[in-house]
Amino acid sequence: MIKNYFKQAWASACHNKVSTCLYLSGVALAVATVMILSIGFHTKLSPIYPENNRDRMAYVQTCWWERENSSGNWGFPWQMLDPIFGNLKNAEAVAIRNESRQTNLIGVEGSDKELKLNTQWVNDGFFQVYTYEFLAGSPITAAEVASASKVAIIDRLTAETMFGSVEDAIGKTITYASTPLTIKGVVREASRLTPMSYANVYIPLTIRDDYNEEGEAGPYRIIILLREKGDMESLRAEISSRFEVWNKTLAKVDDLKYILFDQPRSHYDLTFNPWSSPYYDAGENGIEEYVWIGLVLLLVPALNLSGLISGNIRRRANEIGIRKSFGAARTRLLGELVTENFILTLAGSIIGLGLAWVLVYCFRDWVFTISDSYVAMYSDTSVHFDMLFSPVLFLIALGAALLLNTVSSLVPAWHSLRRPIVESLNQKL
Amino acid sequence: MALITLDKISKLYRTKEIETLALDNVNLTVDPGEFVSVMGPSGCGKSTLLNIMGLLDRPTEGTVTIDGSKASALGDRELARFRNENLGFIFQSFHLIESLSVLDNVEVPLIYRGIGARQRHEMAKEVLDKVGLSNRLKHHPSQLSGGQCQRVAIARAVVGNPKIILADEPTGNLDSKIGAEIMNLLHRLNTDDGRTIVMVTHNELQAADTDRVVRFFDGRRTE
Ligand SMILES: Nc1ncnc2c1ncn2[C@@H]1O[C@H](COP(=O)(O)OP(=O)(O)O)[C@@H](O)[C@H]1O
Ligand SMILES: [Mg+2]
Repeated sequence: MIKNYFKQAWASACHNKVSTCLYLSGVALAVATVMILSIGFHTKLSPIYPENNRDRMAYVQTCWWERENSSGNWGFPWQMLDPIFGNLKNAEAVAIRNESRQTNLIGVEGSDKELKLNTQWVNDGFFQVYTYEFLAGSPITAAEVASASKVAIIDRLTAETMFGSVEDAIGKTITYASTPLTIKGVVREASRLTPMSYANVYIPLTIRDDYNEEGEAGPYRIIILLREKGDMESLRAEISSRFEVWNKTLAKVDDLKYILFDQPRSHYDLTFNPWSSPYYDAGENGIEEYVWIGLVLLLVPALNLSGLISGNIRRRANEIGIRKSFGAARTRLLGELVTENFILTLAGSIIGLGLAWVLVYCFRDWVFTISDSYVAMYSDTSVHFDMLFSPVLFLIALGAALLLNTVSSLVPAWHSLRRPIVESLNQKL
Repeated sequence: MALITLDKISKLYRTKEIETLALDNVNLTVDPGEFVSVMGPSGCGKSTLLNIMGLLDRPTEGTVTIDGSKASALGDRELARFRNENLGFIFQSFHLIESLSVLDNVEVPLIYRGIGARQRHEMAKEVLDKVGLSNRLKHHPSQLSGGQCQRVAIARAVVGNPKIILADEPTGNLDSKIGAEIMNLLHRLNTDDGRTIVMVTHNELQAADTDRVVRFFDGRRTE
């Protein structure tokens, strides 16, 4: 019986080539849209290398300060790092990154070669918060940061470009602004889709001349790894009380006031409300808003598809009449029509998934460099498989497409099947 | 005992503005093995009568009894099964399924009877052979002439071995030579296989060849 259903589906799909193609491409486009959106969300939200701990991350990115006649914001200044973020009870590790210019010319010792590479100035906690996989060597240590040791970590692609292999890179020297740095570790490369952790070269933040420059604010952004997912509120309380103490001591000398506002913020908050500020209402955004946009985007193809489906079924009134005349019960025909639709939707969805992958892959450079005007020459913008394939998301998209199309085929099918046979038989197109 | 009994059948079509009494208190019985022609001017209710007799439409009033079963007592599934086992239709405009091959079209009634693929092929090929189309199995209806289409339709009507064949102007769309061939086939179904046939026709000569002629005018029997 199932075989008959398939055979019939195939026959009518081949017979109505134009509408089959329209239908398949409609479903494929809709599913591809959902998949691209969800690949986007997936890379932004799900744990992906090296940001596998996203659900335990707490971000303190912005340092808002006020004086009587002025105010401003940037990252944190050096002098605040230890008083505010040192030895936090609720933190398993604290990553500090200097957000100063990120693309730099890096030389290879003993050669004229200089490569424009993406650079991160980080502390030792950075390698605890982010789960870099070391292909060779080891991470930067606290002692190395404290003593401004001239060391560096590079990623695999850089290692292979500069020295031919991962193993050969260890112990070699690269130069940044004439400072020689010894490579002590090589990590599996991150992707530009994770901009906070992406870089070709990681250098202790104390190597920069200006690392301890004083100012109201500074270049340091903080990412804290919570001990437990649920520790966000106690961490907030902890940091908030340190802010209070800091403001009290500082107010005496400098009439400055620092504002913590809604920080620390979860990865989710940071992703959806990047512009949250104590000075204006940036609005409460969330994934809901994007889901709505996605639904509206989907509504158009969905309406087209259900139009196409009901048009198809109407066009086949004559066939329905014939089949009924020769002994098909309504329920049986309903089964046939819905199966047919199901098979087409399944095929369209798989095409859509493929299409989404091809599109994301082809436009990865564009996707990756969209917020980055410097393009590091020797960095391949690698798309990792775990970014592209989230089986759960595909199943959700597939389920949504199947549900939508089954419903939009059920209604006109049932309507058509309820008509008297004679009416179906004699319907003029 | 009669095979088909129509008892006080009326059919009223209601559209927004007009009401048409297509059949007005019609009584008719058909005996097993009979070949009956139905005649009358266009619009007098012949097709309506045949559709009601074939359980494709329900009468507004009256009862249809076929082979002892009262049609009004059957639900959708039972009706479907009853049509499948007892009735074979031949229409003026053939009503073949365009997306299916000749063989697949003829197999349609067998599919709904739940017969396996191999046996279906055999049965369908056998009847197609009888109507002289065994060399057109893979063709699609659009690739056939009108006469060939009607022969496919006849094959489909008889493949499930129903007692009753209902034919609504089966030669209406065909020229007279081809029409005569189709009539030959119908007569053979009647005399050789003993099938009961009710046929609507406009052709007095064709009607004269059948066992009995029933005449209609304006929804009423006149003969
Ligand atoms: N579905 C319908 N709705 C309204 N009127 C109909 C319908 N079918 C048939 N009729 C009317 O019923 C009458 C009988 O039609 P029909 O049985 O097709 O006649 P015949 O087959 O004898 O030409 C005609 O007047 C026709 O217009
Ligand atoms: Mg008619």
